Amino acid sequence: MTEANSSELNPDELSASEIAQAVASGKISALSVTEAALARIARHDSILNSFTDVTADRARARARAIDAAIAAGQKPGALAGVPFAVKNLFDVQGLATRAGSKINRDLKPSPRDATLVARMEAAGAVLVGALNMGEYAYDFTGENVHDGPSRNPHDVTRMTGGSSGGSGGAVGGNLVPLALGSDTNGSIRVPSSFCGIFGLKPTYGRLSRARSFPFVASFDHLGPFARNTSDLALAYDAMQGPDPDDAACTTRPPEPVTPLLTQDIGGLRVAIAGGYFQNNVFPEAIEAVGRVAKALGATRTVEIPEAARARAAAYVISTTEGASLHLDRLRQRPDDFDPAVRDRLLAGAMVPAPLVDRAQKFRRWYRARVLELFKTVDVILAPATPCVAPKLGQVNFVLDGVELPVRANIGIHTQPISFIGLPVVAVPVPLEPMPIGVQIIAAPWREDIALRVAYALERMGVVSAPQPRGL
Amino acid sequence: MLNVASTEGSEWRVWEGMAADPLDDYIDAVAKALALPIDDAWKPAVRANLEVSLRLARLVDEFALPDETESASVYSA
Repeated sequence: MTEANSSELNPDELSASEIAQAVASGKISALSVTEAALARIARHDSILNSFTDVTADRARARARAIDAAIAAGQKPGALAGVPFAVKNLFDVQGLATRAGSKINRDLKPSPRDATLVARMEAAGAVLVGALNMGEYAYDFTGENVHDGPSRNPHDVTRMTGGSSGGSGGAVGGNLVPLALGSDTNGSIRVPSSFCGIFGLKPTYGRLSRARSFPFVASFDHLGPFARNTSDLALAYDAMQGPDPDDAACTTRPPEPVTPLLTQDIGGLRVAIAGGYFQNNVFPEAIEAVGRVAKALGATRTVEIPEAARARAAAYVISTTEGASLHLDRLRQRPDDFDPAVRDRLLAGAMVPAPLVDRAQKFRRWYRARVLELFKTVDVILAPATPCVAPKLGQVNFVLDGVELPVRANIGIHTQPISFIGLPVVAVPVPLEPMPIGVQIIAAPWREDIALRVAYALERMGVVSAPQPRGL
Repeated sequence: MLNVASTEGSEWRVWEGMAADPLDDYIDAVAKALALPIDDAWKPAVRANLEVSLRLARLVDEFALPDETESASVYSA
């Protein structure tokens, strides 16, 4: 935002923090910002297919209330008038929480909002809708058989990635400056990578999951998407804090990151993940990690021990906990699932229990080894995805002359990290013709470090969210 | 990309050596025990998914851990 004159402010071009400042200072109204977001959605979402519900009446009422509060001299909050949208597994009062499914549409409308929706609105943000996602979050593509695929804003013939596909498309397509999603095995970091935006998967337990539809309780995280680090931190700060309604949510008090973003990162020890994270990746992923590493002066490589086994254990726990969650629906309405999801869940129900128990025990061993690494490093860099966004419906890709299944391989670099709940910021490297993400991985509870590094990279011009090229 | 099939482990011969029929029988038996309706047309896909899960579970199973190892828990505050 370079002009203070309200007549020259274009809400289509403002970041979340710029909107909040302009609204709070009366330079632009929350209602005009909301109307602009609704107009962008109306103009572009028939192509992107990122929204499943647009809550226009609610948004206008909320925006008017913010404008009235400001006129009455009240402080409107750090996200005053900022439009945002949520993956449709978040409870939104008055909507059935479909979680990407056909079956859940028969649920009663939610009586109240998810904790994180309420916290965003308490900070002044304006909910404008719910977003497309892969069925029951068991997905890395953003394709949904019931609602149609989310489409990549940089090339609408390509995937957004999933399962938070609509979140990636809506922010990457500049329909909203902020969105919320969930990440069990990579579902924030994968769409961030494919759609060229910033995504934060916080430490497991940092943000409340209350009143969101689960997938794998052991690994489920919620977090924000944004077009820059400052906006990501603003949303993250607004959502922190204990919540007795989520048994896994930390009792730590909020630890705001926004005031720390500009701190020097020169003293941080940064290393590149080697071995598993450097094998079987496309040149674009290597190029992206290389650019980030060079900018940070990182030359050291560390081996995350037994990462392939960690990915395998994450897979086993996911398929079995997912099957347990959906057992009654599999019995009663198997024909109403996406057949591919149903067949994965049915198979998950058949994995013998001792193998799941061993996967959870391995998880403790692996967590201890990885935490030892963080005694000598502060940040680990790794690809967010092995490739840029594949084509919609693409089944295989060829790497080094070997044909490999797309779906099974999109999340290979994210799964070993969320498996033990480490905080990660996915940062977009704006390669041509398609962007790709890099994971900035920190020790538990050190989201501040990952966000400071992301902010520094942005200032250096190494990472940025490209304007949508496919619209 | 993840070459789990090359890992050796004799105790896993029960799965590795399982001919088509025994694993299909296992699927039928578990489906019956859990009251899961599985259409015949779905069985090849269910079997293929189960084979992937068991291959990956094998990779974990082969990793020796002390008897005292406990399951992972949430990070404490």
